[in-house]
Amino acid sequence: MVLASLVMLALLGFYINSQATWNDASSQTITQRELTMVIERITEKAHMASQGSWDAAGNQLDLYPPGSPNAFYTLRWDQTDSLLYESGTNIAGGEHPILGSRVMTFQVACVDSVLVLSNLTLRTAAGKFVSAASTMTFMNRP
Amino acid sequence: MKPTPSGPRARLNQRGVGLMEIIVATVIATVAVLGLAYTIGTGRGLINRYEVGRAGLAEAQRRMEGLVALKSTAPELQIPSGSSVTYADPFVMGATTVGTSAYTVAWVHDPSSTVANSNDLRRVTVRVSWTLGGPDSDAVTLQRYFPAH
Repeated sequence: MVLASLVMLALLGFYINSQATWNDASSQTITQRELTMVIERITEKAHMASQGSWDAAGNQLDLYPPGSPNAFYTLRWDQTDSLLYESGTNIAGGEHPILGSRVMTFQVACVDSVLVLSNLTLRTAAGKFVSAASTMTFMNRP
Repeated sequence: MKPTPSGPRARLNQRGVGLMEIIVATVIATVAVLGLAYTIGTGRGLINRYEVGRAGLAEAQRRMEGLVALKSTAPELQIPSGSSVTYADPFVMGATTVGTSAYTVAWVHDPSSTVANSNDLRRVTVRVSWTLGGPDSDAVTLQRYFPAH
């Protein structure tokens, strides 16, 4: 009876531990995919743009088409809910979050013909941070 | 009243779980649990590996996009001597150096060129490599051709 109880406790511990690991891994995978998706999205839009501007106070990135003062794509980090919102022409639904994960850091700089994403850090549902950095060129490509 | 059998016949009629059945079931359960534990551990390790892989891809794209934005006269694209040159920097994730971010600029002769052995193009190869504590290393490689002049 004692031995059976010990075995059951060990199995229960293993089950709970494996579920925790499984959830942790799943949430990290989702966040990593979202991070890659955002980088690909910014790259795609930056290649279409001729220039960009970064508003550090408003945490907002605007991308402009050639010869126009109006941005065709905007990415804004709302620090109240830590979500990243996109909006722009030809994007249905108005401004909407493009990620489910919370954004901890979103740092961008626009230098000449280059957009420098110096730090994009997301937080997984389990509390782990996933970050990446990249650079995109404004290619003025429709 | 129904008579109860006695002797060897009585032992054959007894119901229950034998010791051998318990041992076999325990062995099967142990193998199954160990298999599960191994699978979960391996899956978790792969996810951590992909985390660095995704950051490595972003780093390679960063490097290539930065080079694309340069003019062909930029010092970063020059080949001082020989047919190629390699520039390398540490590949940093967060505050930790996990590998090397390098790119090679090499002269390429266009086969359709009428001039023999002419330097017609520059081939830029960006290679970001890293290790995760073990002997194996992973890498992301991007390649692009640039004009020679």
